[in-house]
Amino acid sequence: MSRFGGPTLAPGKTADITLLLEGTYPFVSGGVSSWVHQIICGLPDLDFALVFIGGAADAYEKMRYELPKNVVHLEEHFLAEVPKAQRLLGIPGDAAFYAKSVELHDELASRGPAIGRMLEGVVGSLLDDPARHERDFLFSEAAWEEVCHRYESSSPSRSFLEYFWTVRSMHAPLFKMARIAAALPPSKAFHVISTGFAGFLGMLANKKRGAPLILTEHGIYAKERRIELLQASWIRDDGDDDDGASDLAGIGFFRQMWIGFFEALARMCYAAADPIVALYEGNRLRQISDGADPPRTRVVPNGIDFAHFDSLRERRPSEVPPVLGLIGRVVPIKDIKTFVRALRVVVSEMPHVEGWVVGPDDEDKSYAEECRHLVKSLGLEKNVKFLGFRKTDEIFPKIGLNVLTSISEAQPLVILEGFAAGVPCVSSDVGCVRELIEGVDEKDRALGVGGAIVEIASPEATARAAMDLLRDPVRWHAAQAAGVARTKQLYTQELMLARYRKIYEAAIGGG
Amino acid sequence: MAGIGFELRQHLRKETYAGMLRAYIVAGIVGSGPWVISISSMLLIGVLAQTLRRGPELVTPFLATVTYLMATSLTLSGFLQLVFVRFIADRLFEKKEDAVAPNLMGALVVMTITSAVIGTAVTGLTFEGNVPFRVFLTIAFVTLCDVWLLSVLLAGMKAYRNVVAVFILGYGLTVVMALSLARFGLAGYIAGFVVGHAVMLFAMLVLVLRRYPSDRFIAFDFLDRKKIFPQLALTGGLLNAAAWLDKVVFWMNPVTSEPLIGPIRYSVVYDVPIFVAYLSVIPGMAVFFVRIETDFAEKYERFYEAVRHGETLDELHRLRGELVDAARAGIHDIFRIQGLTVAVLLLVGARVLAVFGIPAFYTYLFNIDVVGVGFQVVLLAALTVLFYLDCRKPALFIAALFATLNLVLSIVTQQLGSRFYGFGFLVATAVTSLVALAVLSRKLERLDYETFMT
Repeated sequence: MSRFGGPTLAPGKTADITLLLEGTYPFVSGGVSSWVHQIICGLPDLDFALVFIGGAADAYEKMRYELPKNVVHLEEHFLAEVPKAQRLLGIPGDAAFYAKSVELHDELASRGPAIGRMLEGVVGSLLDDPARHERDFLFSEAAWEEVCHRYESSSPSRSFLEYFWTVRSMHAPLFKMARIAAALPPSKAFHVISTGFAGFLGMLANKKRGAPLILTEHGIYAKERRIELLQASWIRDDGDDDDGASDLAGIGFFRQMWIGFFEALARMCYAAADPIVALYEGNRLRQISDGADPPRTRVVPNGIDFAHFDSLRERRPSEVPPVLGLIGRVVPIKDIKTFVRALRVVVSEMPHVEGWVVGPDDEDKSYAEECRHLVKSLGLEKNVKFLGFRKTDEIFPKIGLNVLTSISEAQPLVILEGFAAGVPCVSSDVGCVRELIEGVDEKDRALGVGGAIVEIASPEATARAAMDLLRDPVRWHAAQAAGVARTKQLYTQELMLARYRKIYEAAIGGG
Repeated sequence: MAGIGFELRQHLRKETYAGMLRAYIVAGIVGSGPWVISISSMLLIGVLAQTLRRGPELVTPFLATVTYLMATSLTLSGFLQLVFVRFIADRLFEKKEDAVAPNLMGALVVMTITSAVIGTAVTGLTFEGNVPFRVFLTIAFVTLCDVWLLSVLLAGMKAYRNVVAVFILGYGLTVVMALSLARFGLAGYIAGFVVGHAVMLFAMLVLVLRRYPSDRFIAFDFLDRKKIFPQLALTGGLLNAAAWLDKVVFWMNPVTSEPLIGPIRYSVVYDVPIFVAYLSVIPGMAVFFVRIETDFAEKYERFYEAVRHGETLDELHRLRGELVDAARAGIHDIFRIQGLTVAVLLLVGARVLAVFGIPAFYTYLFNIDVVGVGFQVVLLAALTVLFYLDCRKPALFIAALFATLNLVLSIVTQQLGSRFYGFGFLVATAVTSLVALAVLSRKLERLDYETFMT
């Protein structure tokens, strides 16, 4: 099954958990992938099957992780690999199916409550014969009439060509998911790590097998797609605003179609998943507002291997090193430039302070170049260093503050790791950073403040907060203590694994 | 975040509609029917030979021989015609104009070698004596095969005026040469025929090469399976063969035919009326082609332009309606003009035959043939439009239907007796043309559905 040499589930066997992974583990490295690896390694008594969904096969060279022994199955599917269907015109198509599909589409568009019930009707038929439905969708008269009808009722003044292909491009992967769902490895439960295509597959798997579907979202997939779609240049709706009326906030019609599509995928996944897990409270509320049923939602934060960091705390020098570290890739979303500008402010008052940017800079070369240029033009060559990728174990003992200037994060692992290594944090107010630094509830807050929160893109405030901590050893040590305590009590790997073990055991019925 | 990149949409979007345009150059083919002109000219030779007293006893053998040449060369070249013209049309669409000349040379080489081998084998093995006649016969066969290939290409290039000019030149020369070489007997007639056609061949070659100059001399890309539609070979062969099968049935039956030279047999009762009847296609075809080339072609372009430029569905419906109207108007024109022609010929048939020196007792069969030929015009028109719309499969089906019906029904009517001669052909063309119209009508009704749902 796996073209990358992964294992295949032996016939007659059933995996405990099948992970549905879209564009992540084990072929892409990153926060989500590390988390998946952590879960699999941390629950060695459970058997995992992995179903990977990728774009084009050539985008993934090799596995980025050595698969743990309890991975019993791996299969990869690539959306770009669409089997060329024999053109078959003149088939009437399943009119009853399209009638049900219309109902579902209307319910999704109006964000109605009956999605779950309507899914039963559509998905059951779809899963019975995905190939027939795919053929019907591509060639049948019923599908054609439905597309025309929807066009007429939504955008009769726009390019039909664009509309037609937008609809096709959206739905083609869904039939692929249906084919995958029809041949999934036997499993006691399914766990999907995002909504989107994998989330749709999870919903199908749930309907097909009757096995529970667990959903964990690190970011909010639909929201991140939205951001991506707003900037996407391949959507041809420039100058689309002639009639303005249907275009909310100046977003073109086809862009809206795509955004709505991913929102609908999320709703369908939410309708099938239980529990629906978020990393932190903010995202849980977002899931609810996107259609998740509140009683099914819960929060399971990331956890780190706390014991691993004991030695790092011991290696720290007695004096606080006058070094601000930013650990992250050199990309715009991390807003490295604000970090550099903050250093300018700090250095003018505390000339001996250094700023280290620790992370690969080859992802967005022109941005990295701009950052270096900024360092030069601000005269900070002696103070700001780009260290490239380094092991964080080497870095944490040498820095005095862990600085994050990101414009978007979920629950940055680097803050928790820094806390565990005894480094307080100054961060922009994104994701659940406030929860990490200041605490969630009263009991949590009583542990103290692990650093400082500043506004996004604010070099001045970042510099002030950093200097306040560096100049005030008492405050700094209090922050260190708060960070260590909070991590140890609330964000350990043991806690996270125990929570997922409980979720898994509930799903597979005690295992 | 987990999630895959969006490049995948790029894979899914196909600009297939451009492909529709490529088909239309093929359209020139079916209707071009230059062989109709050829046959008519041969009849002219017969008439002139009689009146000028130049070997009048040779007229019947000459016409029979030329008829065989036409039938066999058209069928053989038919297998290459559609495939090749479609290949050229696709290259022209890709703006690879320099691919035309070398591939034409390649196609001519293939055609020449194939027809020379077959021609030599047939004249060598199945004829006896009269070596000059056999040699000229083989050359005539090869020349004709090449001429059909070229004329179809020129018609496909919309160079109708040139084709007509070349045909007038070539056939004028053929008539003059055949009559002046008549004193050398049948071989002289055929030699004259060869000279006229050879001039036509080179004139057309010059026309093509002038229009599409190229650095390469010869290429065989048209044999690359990935660049052609092999199905078209079958369609082309069948379509040409189908039009001759009723004649073949009458040639092969000893009751209705007489042996002439070698394998050549001719059917006095059947051949003469039908060839005269073929002259009646000219008004209907002319009218249809004016329609297709102006109104229909324009509407066709506009429809696909609108598709590609992202017009609204409303607009597409409207343009499709106009396209359908144009096609209908063209077919209606054929029915009107051809109907009128048929009616007139039914009234004055005997007198028309007299012009060609044909006895009045042929009138009965002539009347049947005139109606059958009328239907054939409708069939060719419907096929032309189908090729425009790139309906390759229906075209193959129709060609096969025509061939089958014409063969089977001709055999049946032959068995039924002389009163029924010609009805096989008539019913075959009538049924096939009506089926073709039905197919066409359905295709046009569903044009937008079929255009998008690919």
